[in-house]
Amino acid sequence: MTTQSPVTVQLFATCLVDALNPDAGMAVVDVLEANGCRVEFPYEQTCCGQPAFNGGFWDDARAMARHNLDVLDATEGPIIVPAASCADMMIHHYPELFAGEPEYAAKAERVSARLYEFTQFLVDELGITDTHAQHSEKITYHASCHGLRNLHIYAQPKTLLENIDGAEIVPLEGETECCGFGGLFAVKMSDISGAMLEKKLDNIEASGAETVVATDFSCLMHIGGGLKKRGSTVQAKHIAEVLRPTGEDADA
Amino acid sequence: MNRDDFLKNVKSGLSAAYFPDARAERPTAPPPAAFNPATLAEQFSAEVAALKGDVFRADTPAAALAKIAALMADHGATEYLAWADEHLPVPNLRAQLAGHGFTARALTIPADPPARRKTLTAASDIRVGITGALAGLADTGTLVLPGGAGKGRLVSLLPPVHIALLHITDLYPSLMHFIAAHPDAARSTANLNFISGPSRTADIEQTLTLGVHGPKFVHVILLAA
Amino acid sequence: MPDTTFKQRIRDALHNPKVTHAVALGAHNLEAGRARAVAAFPQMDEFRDRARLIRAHTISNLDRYLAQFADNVEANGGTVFWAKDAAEAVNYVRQLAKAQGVQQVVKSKSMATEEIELNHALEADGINVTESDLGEFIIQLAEEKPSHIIAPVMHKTRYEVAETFHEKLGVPYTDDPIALNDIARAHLRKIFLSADMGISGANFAVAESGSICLVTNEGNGRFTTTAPRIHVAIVGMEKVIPTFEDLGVLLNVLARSATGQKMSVYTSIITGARRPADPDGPEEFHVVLLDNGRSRALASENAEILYCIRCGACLNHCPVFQAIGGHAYGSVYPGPIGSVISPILWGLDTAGEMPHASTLCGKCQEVCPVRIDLPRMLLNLRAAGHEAGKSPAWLNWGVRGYRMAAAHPTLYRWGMKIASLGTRLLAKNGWVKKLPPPLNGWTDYREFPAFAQKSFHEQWKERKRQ
Repeated sequence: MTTQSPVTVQLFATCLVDALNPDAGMAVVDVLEANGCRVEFPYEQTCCGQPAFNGGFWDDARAMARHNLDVLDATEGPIIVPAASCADMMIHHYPELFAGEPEYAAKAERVSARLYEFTQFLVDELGITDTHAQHSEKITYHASCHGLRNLHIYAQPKTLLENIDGAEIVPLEGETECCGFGGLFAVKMSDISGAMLEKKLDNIEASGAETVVATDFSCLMHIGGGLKKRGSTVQAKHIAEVLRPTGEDADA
Repeated sequence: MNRDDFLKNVKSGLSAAYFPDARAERPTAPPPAAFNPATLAEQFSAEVAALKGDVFRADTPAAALAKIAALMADHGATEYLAWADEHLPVPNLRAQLAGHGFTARALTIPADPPARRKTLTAASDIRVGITGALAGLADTGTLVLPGGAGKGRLVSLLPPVHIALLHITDLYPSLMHFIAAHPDAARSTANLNFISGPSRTADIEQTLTLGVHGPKFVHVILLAA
Repeated sequence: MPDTTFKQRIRDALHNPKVTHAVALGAHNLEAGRARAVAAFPQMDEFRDRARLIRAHTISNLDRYLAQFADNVEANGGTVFWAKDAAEAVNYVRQLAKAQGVQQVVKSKSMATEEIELNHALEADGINVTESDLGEFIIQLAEEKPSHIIAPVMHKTRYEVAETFHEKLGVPYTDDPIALNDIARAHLRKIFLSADMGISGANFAVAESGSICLVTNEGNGRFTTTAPRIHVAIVGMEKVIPTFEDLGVLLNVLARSATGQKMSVYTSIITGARRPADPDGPEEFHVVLLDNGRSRALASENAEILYCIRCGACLNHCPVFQAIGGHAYGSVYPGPIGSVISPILWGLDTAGEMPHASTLCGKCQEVCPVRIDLPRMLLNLRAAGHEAGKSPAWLNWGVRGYRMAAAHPTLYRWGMKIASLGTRLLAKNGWVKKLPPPLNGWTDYREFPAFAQKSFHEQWKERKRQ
């Protein structure tokens, strides 16, 4: 139990969590609230614009970014993002996108200075390494590329996973190899995406894990969709879902 | 295109461009630390061995000569190419090897094409080449061979066996140490070679093969001070 | 550039197990090599930092260092030709060969000569051109192009090499690499010793002495630049560096990054033709400095790509390269470096798809010896391609719609609700097995999750009411 007054944080859910895996977003809220945070959700938020940016549609990305910067800049406190690639987009690329627009450049600087990926915030800012979750299963970790290489996120999720009561964290061969999602790449270059996915899935199945987790649902919808297609029983979950402090038994 | 227009093209781009981490001054670093060459022999030998070459420690020029004679016999060679005597650390090499029945062949390449081809082809069956070395680099097992008068490049290239004579006092810990001590080594010869072990390739299915075009055997004779 | 489509070449590569197996094997060996070399060299990061500073300083002062380099080549009796483009470079060599009655050329490996397609032009003039690097020799016999900037036959198995030698050289079939090597050695030795002209590239060009540096392993580079009467070096203008000391720094990171060797077997520094009293060496030394579009990179936000020292580490570690191999890219420069330099040299019309063949995973930047920010430039080129109207129509419409939604939250939430209804209609047990074009690429390899019945927005609203 914390004796300090709660830290107010802003949740930026990300479009994929919002639309496809809202339970992961709720898990993030649950974990944050159990660790001394009061979570606010700026309701007018949308998509950070990363898919447009990565596709070269920079004017469109700017339009999307302006809206979200307006929404976020009107709030206070740390901004928590349950997706490392979206966090990377907003921390590194928002300031670049507005290099020629002083008003939004300033907003981007202010917002990016307050912004954290979820596991990064828990471990590096709150000092939490144990969320008192319980899962008696074998879990393996896929290190999403943007988080790993651009935000240096690796030790934080690993530490949190190691402290899940009852879970066996099994190593993943090629854990830092790209899964092949790459945003629009998954559709535009689907043949290469599929080949890279095949390799990742083979490694996941060989690890003996029952669940594969990551910080990014983008990787997970691609990995999960692939596991489903090959009839695998391995589940792909957002890391927040296994960090939830309610002691949920994975076999239930 | 003429030089001025070419350079103008280059220059006109520079002001508009983005050069991350570009400094106006040429970046420099402090010179490498002092060292004692005698302490480097073991590392040098280990590195040469790792490259599939070998190092023989010769306490005296006589020992070196005996080793050369033994290697010639091992490789079934009766003739050899060599740097000029005055560039070799074993005095009067040719005379001494002649005493063992080994003959030095000269190899000076004529300029004009037919004579050039003839000379090169005639020399291509010689099995051994004997050189000195300006330096040895301990951390990479490298021999430094300059070209120049009396120091033919082909001596360490054409024959399948290369015997290199190196003084222990000419060992350096690394390439950076050598360059700091010899900043003009490159410009002072038309051809400066850093040779690290026998010729090799792994082009075919990553399978290592030695002696592709250059020598298959590199024997270093390391002479005591 | 080939006349097949990128998509077709990718498909062909992925469905050719020989290619996929050989490339994966080759790339992984080189990856492992680099990892070993870096582990054994604690100063690697320090040298990479220095290497980056040297390249950044040089490229940002390129005109000055090119001038100094050329002055010193000429002071040593060499000849410098300034080639604006491939045609000028090729014509210089053709004219020189003609004037000197050259009948046989021997080449050591040079990506610059592949870039300008020099061999083809000389052969059209009736000159015999023989590649002497074993990998290049093999692909020359096989009438292919190299698939990797350092390991040209990474895509071939030993059996394919055996077939090529047997067919093209008339030797008895053998797939033993050592025997194949001996065959090549004997064949090429004759060529080395009789060629009229040797053509090389250069790994670096040292301005303070007018020297070029060749980094090789086989000995063919030394033969090519020693035995024939004339030596011509084709040198991309970005190869220049200021001093011998700078060369030392770059040599410390080059081989370690490329193959995992501490030094290549032969690092040769050539300063002019043979000097009076030299017993051997070429009579003439020519340097062809090549622009061919590099100045376009200079005048842009992608100038950093010219820091590249052509080690190939980015290729070896790129998961896309490992999956499809070099030929699929359709350029002599494949992989991450190729995907930036090819659109710059040959234009977006020809090579504009290459920057999209990446997930931006960032592994390339992580291993680059001069820490080039390749993902940044891949993004720049994607933006440039979009500005030039190259985005497909379906994507233009899709992004336009998505932008409208993301900039108008009510529209966004309603759009999400409609998509939720739509996907749940298509789905069985929460998964859609087949998406319609243009999204069918997804379901070729994965199922697609149905949107949640209640979005996070909706669930949040409910949670707050409780």
